Amino acid sequence: MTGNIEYSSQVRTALARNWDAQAAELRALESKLSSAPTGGLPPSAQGAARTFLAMWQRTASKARIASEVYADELFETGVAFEDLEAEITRRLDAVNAGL
Amino acid sequence: MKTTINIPDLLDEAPAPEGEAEGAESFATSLIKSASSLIGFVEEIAILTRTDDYWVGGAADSYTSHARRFAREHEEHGPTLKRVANGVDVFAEQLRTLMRAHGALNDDIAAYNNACYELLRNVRQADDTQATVMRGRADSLAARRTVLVSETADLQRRVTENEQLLIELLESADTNAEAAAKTGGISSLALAAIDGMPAASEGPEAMASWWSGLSEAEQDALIAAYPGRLGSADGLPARVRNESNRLLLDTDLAELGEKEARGILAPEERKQLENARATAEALKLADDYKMPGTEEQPGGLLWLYDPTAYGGDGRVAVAIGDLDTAEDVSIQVPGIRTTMKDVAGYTQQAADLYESARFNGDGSGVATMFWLGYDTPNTNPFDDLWGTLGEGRAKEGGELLADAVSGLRASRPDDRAHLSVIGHSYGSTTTSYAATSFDLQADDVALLGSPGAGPADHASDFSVGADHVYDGRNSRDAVAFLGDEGWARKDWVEAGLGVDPSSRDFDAKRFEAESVERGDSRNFDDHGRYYDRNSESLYNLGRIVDGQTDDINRADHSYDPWWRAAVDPEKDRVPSSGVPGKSLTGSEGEG
Repeated sequence: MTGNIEYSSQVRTALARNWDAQAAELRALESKLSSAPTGGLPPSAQGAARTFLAMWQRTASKARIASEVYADELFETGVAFEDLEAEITRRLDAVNAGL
Repeated sequence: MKTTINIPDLLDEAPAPEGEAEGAESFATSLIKSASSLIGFVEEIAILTRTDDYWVGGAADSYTSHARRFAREHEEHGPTLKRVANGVDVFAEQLRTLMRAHGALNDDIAAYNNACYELLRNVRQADDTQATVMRGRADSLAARRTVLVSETADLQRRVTENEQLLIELLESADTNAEAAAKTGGISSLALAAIDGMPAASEGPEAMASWWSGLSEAEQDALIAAYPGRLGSADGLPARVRNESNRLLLDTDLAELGEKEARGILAPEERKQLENARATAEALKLADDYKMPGTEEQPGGLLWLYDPTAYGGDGRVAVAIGDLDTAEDVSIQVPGIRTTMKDVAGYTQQAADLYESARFNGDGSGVATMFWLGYDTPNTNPFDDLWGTLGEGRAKEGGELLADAVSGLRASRPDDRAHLSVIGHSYGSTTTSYAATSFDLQADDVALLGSPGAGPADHASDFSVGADHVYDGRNSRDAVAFLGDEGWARKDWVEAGLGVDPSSRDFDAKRFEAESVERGDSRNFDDHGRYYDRNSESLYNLGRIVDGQTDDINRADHSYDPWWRAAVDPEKDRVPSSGVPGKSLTGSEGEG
């Protein structure tokens, strides 16, 4: 690791939550795609439409899962930073108390 | 003696195109909304990768690097889905056209079958003396049958091509790699054809020639894939521009509406959305417009649509009637402080002009278009006409106007329309520049409430020739008073924009344009009354648009004797409203 380290609780409180919000949007998109009305298309295009929609649902689903992973990881990162900060504070307080 | 008459076989109905246009449009709308979600998603991720203010270090670097790559991988997904949605919309529109063609063809087939039955009945009752006539009728029916069989096959081919285009579009974006590619959702037909598109600098004739050499399937594929490039391409048929611009409009409404609902609309996007909504309102007015007192519904066209132009003031042109086929076409050019948000009100003026031209016309087809294709000055007329307005925007606009008219001309190389350009207020100065400095390809030009004719000192300076320059000035119009009359040069005090085109010196054909509502003295309200229904001005404009220019009601020029202030002979004439042959522009009591 090089350079400075700065950390604010926004990583956990804002960044992770925003990724969660994106995951929710993508879940809504999956639903939108699964209910896209193909009834007006001619029979010759129905198969292509099904394949097309299935791929886009998978795309939305993968993006949603990735967003959830980002949200979880950032939350855990935030917790880890804060735990580390608390642990160091505790140990230094202990050292100070022993002096 | 036995005589044989070979009556041709009956024909089966042509098979109907499969699918349903409205249903396909619903599918397209659903895809557009999905595309908007994906575009919004990528924009949000871009924000979520900027952590400098609250998180710095190796872990932060690792996160931002990964998240940026993730964003890049998804960057093209929204645009790809949007292109497919556009393609489905084009499919739906073409399906509608094919359905209409199918209905008409089946009517013809039914008429043919009835004619066969009738001939059979007549043959059974005929004697030998009528054999020649009967054979002639049978031969005629056989020829008709050949045409109908060919038309049925042609319709079937078009139906198949339309379906193939749809399938190809769906298949061009059904893998991860295609979804992420810049060419995802573009059919191979469009990809091949777009390479031949000439640059605008090659002129509108080159554009028209390129387009007319494409197959119907290639044209549809291009509209679906490149509406932004086709919507404002001078030289293309108005139908093509209209279809392209409507796709852009629908996309803006869906995409920006979605962002608004999610609370993530940026300020410049807010302007864009307002412009889109104003255009949608104007287009609805144009599409729904039914000429008062008649069943005539000419339909609307979106000829130009660019809601982000000129810092959000926008560029737009909406027409009433068919610009591709109308015998008489007009273009209305607005003046200062006109922006895209005003388009509905000006479209109503175009509708009222359409009515006037048709109501008092000779029966020829008419199309009237409001054109806001230049950057109008935003200055306040009450503050600035006496100083800082200037002619720069008029000159720039004049060139754009001349280009637009050349584009319309080129789009109809073998079917030249009678074309009039009407400039109001500062738009009259813009029109003067187009006609004086940029060889405006119009037949007639009318200037309304003009603050000055810009670079022209005399009507003969115009490209249309002095006999085709008309001027309407309400004697109470405070803006029209600003032009130079006779010896009084207002540029001496840095006011006005050139010679007053209603003046004797300019020598245009001045027509009556007084309003029954005119004020007692010069005012700004009278500057806005030239398109009032059942007014003298709108009556005369309708005559000009319809090409009946010998039958306008002429007014005497204003003039400026050296011993006193300028004189307007119209000042003391009693104006009329709704008088046949003078100021009646439509069915009374309606509109």
